[in-house]
Amino acid sequence: MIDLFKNIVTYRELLFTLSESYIKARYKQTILGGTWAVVPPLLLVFTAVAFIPNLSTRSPELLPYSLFVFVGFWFWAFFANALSFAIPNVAQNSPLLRKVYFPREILVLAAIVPSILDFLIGLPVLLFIMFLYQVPFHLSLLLLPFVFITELFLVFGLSCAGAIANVAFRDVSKFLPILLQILLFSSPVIYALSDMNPTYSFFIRWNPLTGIFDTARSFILPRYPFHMDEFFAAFIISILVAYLGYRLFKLGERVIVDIA
Amino acid sequence: MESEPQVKVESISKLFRRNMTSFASIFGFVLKIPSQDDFWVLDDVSFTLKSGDSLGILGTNGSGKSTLLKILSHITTPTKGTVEIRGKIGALIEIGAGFNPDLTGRENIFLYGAILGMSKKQIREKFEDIVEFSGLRHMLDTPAKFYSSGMYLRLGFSVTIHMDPDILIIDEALAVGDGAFQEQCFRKIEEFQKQGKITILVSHDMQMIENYTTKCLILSKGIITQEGPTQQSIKEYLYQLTHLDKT
Repeated sequence: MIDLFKNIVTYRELLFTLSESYIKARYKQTILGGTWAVVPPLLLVFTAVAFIPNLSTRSPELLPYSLFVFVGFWFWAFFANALSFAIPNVAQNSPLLRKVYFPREILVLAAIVPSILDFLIGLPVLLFIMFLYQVPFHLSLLLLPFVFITELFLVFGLSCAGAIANVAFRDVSKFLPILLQILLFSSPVIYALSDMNPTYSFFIRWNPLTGIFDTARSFILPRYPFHMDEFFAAFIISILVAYLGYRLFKLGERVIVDIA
Repeated sequence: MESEPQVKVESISKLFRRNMTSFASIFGFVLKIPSQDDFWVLDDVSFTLKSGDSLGILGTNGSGKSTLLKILSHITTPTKGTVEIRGKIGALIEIGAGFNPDLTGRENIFLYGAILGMSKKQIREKFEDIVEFSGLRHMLDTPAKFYSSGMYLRLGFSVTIHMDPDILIIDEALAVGDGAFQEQCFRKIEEFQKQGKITILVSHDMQMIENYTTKCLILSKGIITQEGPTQQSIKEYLYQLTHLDKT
């Protein structure tokens, strides 16, 4: 793990340059430009609020409901976008890998950066929605970065593991969109934990996304309860995923050029 | 540099597999399950280079030269054996490596410098020298996709040499440069050698090998068949070539 930080420092310029080029490429020739970061989650929020039975009639802690749904999609969008971009990115760069050396994890990290930026663009939108519903700004908002960092660890680990697996078998990037849809339905993005099918509570409990979404909501919504154990579990699992994913990546890195 | 550059290669071998297209063969390769399609691209290769050494590597196509250079420059790892390197490596293995065709020459200098681990500040300091050396001032703001292969080489070599490597590795690439640029590169390489740096050169141009290396090794099917002073090695290599032709 220490060589990861060393490589980031030494190759920071490459990380910046690559991230910058990905960000530019992302919004090239679009009318909305950077607004694209917030349009999809907002449309999803609107759709969910309009078409899915309003859950807050039974559970008032979900109020204001639009805000509840937005927080879910906001954190979900970071997870889904980052994985969708980072996992195929290493295999896509295989011609480069065969010609020059640089720490290969830079490709994973640089592919995550644009999604971090998108997430940050969502912050003023969050504040605006809070303002709209006259939700009081609690000091707990300042704890949101901890939730985000937890998610970042999770995303980094999964991206590393997925990216290296995808180098050997492109099935990974083919399977990814459907996997993300499965996770979208099986994690509390639109639903609250209390609404979910208790038969699968084992999966829901150990899915770190549960703790991430729930904790974020508890910091933002006025009446949403905070569960320390849930956040703690998500945090530990995310760190573990980051560590194991990175180790797997480093192991695979040795043969990347031979099999890419 | 606190210590002198050094390259120490100890009995490295590299395994390749001929048909790595199926799930089973890739999986087997990663898990090191032997297969009939396996072969050694490099087989028990050892040598040591000290400060000021310049090594030429001779060999026919497919003899393992490029794989050896890729192992030396960290692009890939040996299956067996160890490589110990002291000093910063500057490798020019393939022309156009690391350049983005959509970016301009100027942007590509920064991108390639970053790939080599240089900071923006370092590149900015050397920028003028890089441009001057490449002779591409008039093309700086043109996207690289409009560059010729010679221009790619000029840019790549200029950046590589200005990162101030202790060990310079050049594979064939220089062949696409025109006479004037090759001349310029070799003056720079000579300057390097005088500073006690290590150069490793792969080329089919015997004149080049003779002029700029002091010792050589001949690779044949991944095995070092001969190691010695350049002139003697070239003679041996040319003999091997003609001998092979007749059989």
